[in-house]
Amino acid sequence: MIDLSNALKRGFKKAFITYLDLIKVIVPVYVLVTFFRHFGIIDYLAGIFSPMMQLFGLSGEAVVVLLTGYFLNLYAAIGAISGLQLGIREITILGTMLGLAHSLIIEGAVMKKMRVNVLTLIILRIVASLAVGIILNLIL
Amino acid sequence: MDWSAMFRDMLVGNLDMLTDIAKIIFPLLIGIELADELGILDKVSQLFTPVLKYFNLPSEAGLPLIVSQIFGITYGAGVIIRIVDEDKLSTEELMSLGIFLAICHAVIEDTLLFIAIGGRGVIMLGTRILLAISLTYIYSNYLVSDNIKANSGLSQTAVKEGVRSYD
Repeated sequence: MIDLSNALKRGFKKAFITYLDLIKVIVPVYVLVTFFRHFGIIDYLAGIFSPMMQLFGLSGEAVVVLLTGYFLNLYAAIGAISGLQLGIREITILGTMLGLAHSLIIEGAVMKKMRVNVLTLIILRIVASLAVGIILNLIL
Repeated sequence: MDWSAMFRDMLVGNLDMLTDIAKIIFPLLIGIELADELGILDKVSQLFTPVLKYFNLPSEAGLPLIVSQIFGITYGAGVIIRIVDEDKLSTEELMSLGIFLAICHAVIEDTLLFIAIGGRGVIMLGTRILLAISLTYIYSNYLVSDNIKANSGLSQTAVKEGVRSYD
């Protein structure tokens, strides 16, 4: 027997519990990352990794986009791209690299709930992202 | 150091993000529950079962895969947490799912965003799907199968020994 109103209540309850679960993960991580940003730690890292960007055929300033995408999210990375003057080739390389690996801290925290080895997955994503960046720089 | 700007950022960013997530989580999980009640989800999951077999995944893995592609991993996590709590998937099956989803999720939204600012969609989308499929295939067929083969080998011997002792 199909009982839609009961399903509606069940769905709402599950959504509420899940929402609280996600808030507990997302809020502390978001606050921490915002602290990093305001203390200039993300800017400092951008300076260190600049020479590496040549491997991906990207200008040094594009490291800000990569790090923003890896540590924050794709929206922030897109904002950074818009602020810089990058060509189609650079945006395609960045888009592919960031598609493979982004929001690593927040998504890592969320994936931890799946009872998988999150560290392995984060390393896999970063390696895939960097390798694809080098390959695209060679073939594009 | 502008403390007030930092806290304003945190508060506004947090509220915006939490509102956005609520807008998706509530309709999504309520919608899933309704679709489940109507038997729609089983039919959609069945469509994916032939594909899932290549990754040695049961049909239960179909739903989180679909939701994560449409709404992203944060939103798909709601479904995944539910399935994890019900203990429907083994550790290896969860890792196969994890590898696929870590590499490939919310591909429609992500790709569209980067196309909008000038990227080439075929390369961005193609690379992601290709890598997710090949890495998950390699993990589930070559890195896990040894254990499963060893286990099934053991259980077969056990059964044979059991039969012998019964004789």
